[in-house]
Amino acid sequence: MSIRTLALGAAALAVVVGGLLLIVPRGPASPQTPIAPGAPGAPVTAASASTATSLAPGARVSPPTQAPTSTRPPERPAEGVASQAPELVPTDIDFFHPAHQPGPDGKRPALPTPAYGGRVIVRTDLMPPSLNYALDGAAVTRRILYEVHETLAVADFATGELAPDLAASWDVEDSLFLKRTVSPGAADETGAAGETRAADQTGAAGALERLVGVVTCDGEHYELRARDPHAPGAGANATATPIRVPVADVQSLERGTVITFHLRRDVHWQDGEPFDASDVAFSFSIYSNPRVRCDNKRSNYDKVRSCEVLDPYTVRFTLDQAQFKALGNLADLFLLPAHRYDLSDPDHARFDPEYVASKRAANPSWTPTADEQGDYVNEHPNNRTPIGLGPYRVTQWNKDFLEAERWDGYFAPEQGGWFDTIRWRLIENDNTANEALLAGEIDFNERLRADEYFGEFTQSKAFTDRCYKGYLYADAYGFVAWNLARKPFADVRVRQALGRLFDYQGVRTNYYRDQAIQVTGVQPVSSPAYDWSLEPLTFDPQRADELLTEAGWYDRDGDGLRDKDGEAFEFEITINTGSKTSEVLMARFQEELAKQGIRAHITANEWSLFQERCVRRDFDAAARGWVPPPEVDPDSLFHSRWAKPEVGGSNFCGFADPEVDRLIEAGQREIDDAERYAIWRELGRRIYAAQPYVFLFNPARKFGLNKSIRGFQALRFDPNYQLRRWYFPAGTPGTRATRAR
Amino acid sequence: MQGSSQRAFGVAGGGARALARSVLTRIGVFFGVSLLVFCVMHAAPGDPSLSVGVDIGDVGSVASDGARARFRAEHLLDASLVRQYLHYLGPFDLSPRGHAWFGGTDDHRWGGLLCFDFGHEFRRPTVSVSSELARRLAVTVPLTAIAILLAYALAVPLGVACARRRGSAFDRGTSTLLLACFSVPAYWAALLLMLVFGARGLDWLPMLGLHDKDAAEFGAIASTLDLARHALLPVVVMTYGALAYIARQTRAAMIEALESDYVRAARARGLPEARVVWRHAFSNALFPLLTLAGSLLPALVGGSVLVESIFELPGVGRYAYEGFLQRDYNVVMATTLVSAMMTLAGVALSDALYAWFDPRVRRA
Repeated sequence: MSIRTLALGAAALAVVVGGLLLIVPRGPASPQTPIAPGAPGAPVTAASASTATSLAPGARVSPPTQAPTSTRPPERPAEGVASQAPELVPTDIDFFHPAHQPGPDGKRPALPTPAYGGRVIVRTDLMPPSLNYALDGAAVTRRILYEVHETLAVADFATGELAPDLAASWDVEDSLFLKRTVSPGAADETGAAGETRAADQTGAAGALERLVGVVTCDGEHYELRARDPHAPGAGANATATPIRVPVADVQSLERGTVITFHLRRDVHWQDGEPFDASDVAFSFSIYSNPRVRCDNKRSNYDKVRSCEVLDPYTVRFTLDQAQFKALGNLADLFLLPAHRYDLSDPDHARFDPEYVASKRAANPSWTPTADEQGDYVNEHPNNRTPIGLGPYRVTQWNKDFLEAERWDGYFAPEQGGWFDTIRWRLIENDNTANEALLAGEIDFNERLRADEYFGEFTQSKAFTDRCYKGYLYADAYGFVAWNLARKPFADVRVRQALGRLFDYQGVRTNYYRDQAIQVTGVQPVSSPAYDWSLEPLTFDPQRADELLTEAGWYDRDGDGLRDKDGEAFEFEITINTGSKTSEVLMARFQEELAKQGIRAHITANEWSLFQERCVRRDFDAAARGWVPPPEVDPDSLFHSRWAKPEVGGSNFCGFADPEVDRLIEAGQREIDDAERYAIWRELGRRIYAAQPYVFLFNPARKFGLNKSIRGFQALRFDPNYQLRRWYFPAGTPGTRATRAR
Repeated sequence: MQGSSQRAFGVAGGGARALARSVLTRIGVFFGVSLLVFCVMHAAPGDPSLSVGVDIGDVGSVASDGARARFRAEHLLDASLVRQYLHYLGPFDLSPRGHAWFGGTDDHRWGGLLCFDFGHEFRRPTVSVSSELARRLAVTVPLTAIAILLAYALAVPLGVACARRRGSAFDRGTSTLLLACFSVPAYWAALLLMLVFGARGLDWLPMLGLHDKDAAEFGAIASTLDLARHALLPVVVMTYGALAYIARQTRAAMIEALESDYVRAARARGLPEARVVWRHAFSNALFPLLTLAGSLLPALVGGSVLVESIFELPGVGRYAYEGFLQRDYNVVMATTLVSAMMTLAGVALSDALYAWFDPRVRRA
């Protein structure tokens, strides 16, 4: 019996091992190189710069068309109106709704009156691990938090400008660092009560005296007007008399390095406790606690030297150096209720008496350590059932769905949503999600493929009876990254040639059905930093041939393949398994390359391996994508400090150019938006000319939505739509005219 | 009297030894499996630390160096494989937060497989794999159990009937149908059923999960009916393949048994046909089915990735698959080890059933 047991055990093992081997992807194996001990530990800013995505799924591409003309979207403006972003998304409410289409007179019918009540069920293809955005920075976490939480300030969805939210206003002031020879107070030559604060010894400016205020310069003197931090909205010259400092006495001026937020006084957490500056200060403090698992976000705040609570509704952050994203990052700070998370908070014992009692039982004089605080944040039950500040409160989270109900204590009830309940239903399988949409199990699915959007699915009676379709543009885009450390791709002429061998127009027309924008840079198309004046590359085999020949790549041995130094032009394109779009686009690319005597092999690797190969620079070409934030810091993507494989980062290409480095550093320190956008555009042109990526498309995101829901509005900026704006029209069963239930 | 008693004790002692040997062997096999799976998984390319705290799947950026370093340290990924395996095995926690004897902070002294601790998920560090696995098993086990019972309940009479009417139109028709069922991939069948019974077709049955969107408001009866409606298609998809296989096995075994000498002898003695078929033929044809029953046990906890994906059932199959994709070593280990455990239990079960049904085995 034991022999048979062993035999069967071995058989079971064989099945297990076989299963494992099956999931090991085909293609060249990647060495398991551990991170080199002692490798530079500087944080990668990829998470802050951009979130990667593979290309969106889609239909098969039709046979190629020979139309190497411009691939700009029809909305793109003519030359001369450079940087003027076109209207990419129709932002009218209910633009796609069948009951809101223009009549014979060209006018759209009036929108129905909204009613309170009801429930909307939207599909999510991924459940976040938690809703603590400091710990889990996934896009899906952010998507849900848009409805259940708030931040100090938020980018206006129409203009992209930062708009007040929990902070009623904020002041941005500059720092003047005086030379050491200037004695404290000497600068205060007019005798005005300017605020002076010494920077600490470890600061970039050493122990220099720092003056804080709004600084202007007349060439000979800096004039500094300090603000009264307790008087929000009083204007920049709150101090009666400015402080004048001779230019010669100033070591450096750091613009925008003191940011003071004035909080609203009428905001409460969803457990009824008031929201105040101590919550902000605590939420910031976790980033300096190494025990907290917020490593992906740490680089957003590592330039912020201090956070001070000036009064219960005023909080001030101080930086040592100007940093263009400082205000945006602080405005976006994920807020935690200090009374629940902060072990030192006087109210904490009320909310978790058991924890405190257990600690005190072991040690009556217990005071929390940083490690205990860190673990407490990491493991807090409210990470999954957050106590937020938004209009919806998470009430249920099970293996199928996450549900939030409207919370009546929201500080701006008129903007607090119409539905009683929002449910995010987890459906990973796209086919099942479509079936669920038709069956009314969900109301919204925003992952329709082009073939479904234009094909039988949306034309079926089951669909048209219940739903309608539409699209919007988010900021995700795809690209092919070249590994510049590998021979053919080190030559810029080769990259420029390869960039001309992608049939942009054909793919855009046949695959995306014209619903895609050919991008030319890393900045999102919704951003003013995006350069619309940059002419995108076109499919130009002739020019590509000239460039390749000039670079020494032509067919010497008559085997049909270009060669140089005895090596044929042959390489591998790595794609992510399961990305239909990558499969189709790269197959088309492969065809065109073959016509030019270049042999490309396509290898699909599942995500973990794909990531590993990119990070280890173990690839020739990689087809992938980014979901960028509203404004990308190109540092981790293209700065030479991230070019070496051992430092990690997202500069997969190994791109290094001193001028690009200079522009990136200049942009990072420029807090004037217009100036910085100009720098980013100059940088973009340089990068596009160097072609470390073949920049591809930002495809439209196509959705199906239940017809009985009104108020859909595509927003230009992330999150691109807001569930709290949707509603059931008055008269819908189960709805009511008043907010109260 | 005394002699027979001694013999009885002798037999009992031998049985205990055999049992002990068998149990020890199985424990050995179990840990052998754990070691091998552990090694294969760590040898597979793909670094789980690259997607820590960021989106996974086809939407995800690269985790920061800090997040990766923390993750690698917490999971001992830079330690030797031996240390990693010993940490997994337990009972000492060898991680930085583990036992002080091994350089840890002593926060978590004990852990590992020997403490029945499968660790925590990589993606959700506060979720223990055991608790999540239990939740998944609560979905997979009942569905698979129903599917297996249903398959046996239908397949055995069908196989016997075919064998009894061997060569008839019924037999030929049924056999062809069973062959067709056996050949149709579950994925294809599921999509077909979805098209036919879903909203685009007859709109009779729900396709999504196990509960209606309003299930929370249902009473006990409505809730049960709702569950049955949701479970129907997944169970059908899980059943038909096994049904076809078992029916064909039964048919073949019964044909062999019906042609044997002892059946001929039984008929010659004038026994009623039902008794000949069920008592004499079927009880001998039963043994291949018992072996099969043992091998179906791992399927009970293994789940089906395809069926669970299509019908969005949060079962073990999908859990294991997601674990593989994310290189979540703890999830992969837990799901494969539970599977291995059930394989061994399945072998034990078929041995026990053999002994139960076959007096020769019992006496041996």
